[in-house]
Amino acid sequence: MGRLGVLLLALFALMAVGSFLPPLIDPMYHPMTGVDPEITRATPPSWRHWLGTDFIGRDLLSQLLAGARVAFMVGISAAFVSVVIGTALGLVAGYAGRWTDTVLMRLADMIMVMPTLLVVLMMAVFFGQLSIWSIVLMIALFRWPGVSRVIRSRTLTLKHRPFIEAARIAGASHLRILIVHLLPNVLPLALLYMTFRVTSAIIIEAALAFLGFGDPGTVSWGMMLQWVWKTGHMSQAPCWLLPPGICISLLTLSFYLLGRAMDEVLDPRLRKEKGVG
Amino acid sequence: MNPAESNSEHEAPAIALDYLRRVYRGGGWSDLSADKVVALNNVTLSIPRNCIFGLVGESGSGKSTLARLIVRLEQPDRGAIRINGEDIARVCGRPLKRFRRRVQMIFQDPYQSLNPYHSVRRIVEEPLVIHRLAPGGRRRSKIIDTLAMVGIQPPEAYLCRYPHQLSGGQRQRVAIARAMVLDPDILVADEPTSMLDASISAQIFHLLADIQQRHRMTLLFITHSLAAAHYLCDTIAVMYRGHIVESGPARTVIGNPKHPYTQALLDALPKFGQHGREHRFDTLRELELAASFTHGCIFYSRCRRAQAHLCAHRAPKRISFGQGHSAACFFAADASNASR
Amino acid sequence: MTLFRYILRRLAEIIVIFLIIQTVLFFLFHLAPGDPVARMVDPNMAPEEETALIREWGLDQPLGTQYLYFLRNFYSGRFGVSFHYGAPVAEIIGHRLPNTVLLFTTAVVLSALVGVRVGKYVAWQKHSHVDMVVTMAALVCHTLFLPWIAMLILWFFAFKVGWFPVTGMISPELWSNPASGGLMKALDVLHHMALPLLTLFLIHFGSFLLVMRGSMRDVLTEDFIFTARAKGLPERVIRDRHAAPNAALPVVTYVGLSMAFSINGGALTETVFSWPGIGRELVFAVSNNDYPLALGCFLLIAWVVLMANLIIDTLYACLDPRICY
Repeated sequence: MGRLGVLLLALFALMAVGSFLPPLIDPMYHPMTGVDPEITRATPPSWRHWLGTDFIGRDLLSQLLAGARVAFMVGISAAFVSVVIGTALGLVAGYAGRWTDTVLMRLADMIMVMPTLLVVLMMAVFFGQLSIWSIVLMIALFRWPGVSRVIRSRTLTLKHRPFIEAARIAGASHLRILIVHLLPNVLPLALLYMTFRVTSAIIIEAALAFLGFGDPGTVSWGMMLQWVWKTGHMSQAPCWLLPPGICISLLTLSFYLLGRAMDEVLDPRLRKEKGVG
Repeated sequence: MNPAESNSEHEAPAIALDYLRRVYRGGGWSDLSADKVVALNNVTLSIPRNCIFGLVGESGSGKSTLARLIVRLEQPDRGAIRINGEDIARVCGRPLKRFRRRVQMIFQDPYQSLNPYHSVRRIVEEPLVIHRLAPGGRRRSKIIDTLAMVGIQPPEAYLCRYPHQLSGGQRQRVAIARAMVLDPDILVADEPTSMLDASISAQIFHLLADIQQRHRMTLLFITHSLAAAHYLCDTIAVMYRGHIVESGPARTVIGNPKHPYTQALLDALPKFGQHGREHRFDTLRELELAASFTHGCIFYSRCRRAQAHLCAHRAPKRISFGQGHSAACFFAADASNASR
Repeated sequence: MTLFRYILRRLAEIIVIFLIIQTVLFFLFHLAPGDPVARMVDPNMAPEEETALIREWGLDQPLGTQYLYFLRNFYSGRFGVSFHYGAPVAEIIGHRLPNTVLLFTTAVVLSALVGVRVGKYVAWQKHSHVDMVVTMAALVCHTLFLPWIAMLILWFFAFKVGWFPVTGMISPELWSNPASGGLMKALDVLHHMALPLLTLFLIHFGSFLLVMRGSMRDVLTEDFIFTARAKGLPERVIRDRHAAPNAALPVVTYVGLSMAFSINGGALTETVFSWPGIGRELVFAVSNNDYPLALGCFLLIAWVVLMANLIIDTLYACLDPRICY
């Protein structure tokens, strides 16, 4: 299962890298601005356009490739930021305890129950059109609580281990214990949660773009679906509808499979058996 | 009173505890009376410099709490902890860090006391980094010397290993190296061998005795085994339910125990070539008495010698027998008759 | 009694959290670039209406006073007037809420029933072909991109084969006809509901199945299952009476944890199928810059999420005799 996930991910990574090629071959293959001069409507796949064109004659394949790049960018950067925030706050909450813990975890609970997509939509009401980076930031800011809950409970079990107490006896400061001793021990777990966060970030960005609140300057898969939907091509052009949806679903699936495989490796029950040897 | 004290009257003892009290509160702290456990109650103790002091007691007797207070992992609720005459019970900041250099500790479980993500070199180096000692090229040689001293041979080969690549004995040696790399005045060893095989325990005992001799420091050795204490220690103290019930030179306490609890501990030791049920003192009750621990002798409920009108109502004071030997029992003075 | 106290405490917490959310939204509204008055007031309004609105919301007052006005209005049921509809927000929400509740609860209950049952069955057939196939299908359902599968379903069932209506919740001509009876109307709604229901069902079914299968597997290794086997109980009794009730607890927790996720999904489904519910109204309000309507919808959703979590936690406490608060 994990191997399938990695294989799919490699494929998508290849697509993301490949997205730089089409505009180099011919400017009409530019995903955003390139328009085939002979086509002014949605067309089915042809030799010239392997996946067909959209309603104004833009190449769908190059859009799909560019979408892979955007998905990786959004997914990984949003997941990274939210895991950094979640790990930092989870470590501090678990290590400090008392009211710091209470305040941070109540905040986490509050944010966790809110539907992120709708929250980001509300932000669009206040701040108008959101750029791709502000979308990433918003997703990150509302997706850390899950990570910090897990990191906190791990920190709580680590906190009273003798090696932490040994560090205190050696004179280590709290900051040193957090960074040098606790962080390496929770890092594998944080990494695991990053794969799950990547998935949710990609989905939220795609959904936002689908609803028409994406960054108008980028071509994402959600955006492609929005074009199909908004221009009323759904009934006529299923070949336009299929590729972006399949890509989003498969990318989500592959990160999910990867996460599950990592989870099995990190499972404490399995690790205990291998640990001492 | 204490021989070491009388020898050097001007020198303060390595560790002096005054009326030390530590209470653990379970549950919420809204209700103070609920789930209160008195781990240490008015513990007063003096440990002379440059000796091996054994603290003996069953699990839950408060000996580990005492160790944690002395190395300042926890703070006492009441009382003073004087290290070389200086009270450290409530210090913090820079003085605390200075104190950390002088008092080190070895933990019970060598599988838990080393960070699994750090190499041997990093583990032993860390105290030096924290206290900015032995900078530059001297640091490596300091680490290697310390590792060699604790019997990791050859030290260079182990620098890059991780704890999971070491045996239990080797891990405990690395833990000792981490403590000794700071050249502390006081080393607290909390049951350092209870997780190890018997043959390896013996090696660790030898190592600790050897290190104490060479570095002329104070070793506070905490154990549940009178035999280990007898083998290793100059002076011992016996703890029961947060109280010191008997203390004195190891040979005297074990050869001529005065407190019924110490006597019971000696009875519990397995003896070769004898029948299991032969007891020298026979001080334990078959059925425990009901008793409150707020007043009265703490050993009352288990003591065969206890007298309801006396022991249930008043806590015995320590009675001295000379040479630093003392025991907290009303009948300690005539206890010698009880034996044989 | 302790459960009652727990519920009271949680309710107090929810009120505080809700107030915090309101406060944050209020200040974001005023901190965001642009004129807040212009965002509250419909450009097509008559001048006298405009002054009345400004008076009602205290838009000419300092920020602190405005905040109090805002809270007072909210808690006396005045959520403002939608620009697009020209009607009070409360009224619009009142119309939309039952539709969302109908679609959403039907979908969640149906998928939970089916997902838990299939999950239970599949977990018992560990490593069989059925298990492999069903689990993989559930995994795919779970990771499907919702708007896309919604569009596919719409394309196939509504456009290609034409069995179901494309959008909306009712057929106007049927409802305006006085001759049509209650049953006809109900069937009409059901007819419209089929496709959004199928979409939501597919998405939730996969997750319920996976959670139930996983927790059932964990329960299977417990000692009381071996005891039941040793007693010679038939497999079906062990599965349904001994394992399943214990395995169902994590499913209840999962409903709470995935609440936010499924509300996102509900809004997307409503949007694609033009189902006149709260989620679609929120999306619609945001794209039209209809600030009062968006705020009203969002606060309602937040309130529902918070209350639903409380209900689930209480339910969990009732189901699990080991938990006491």
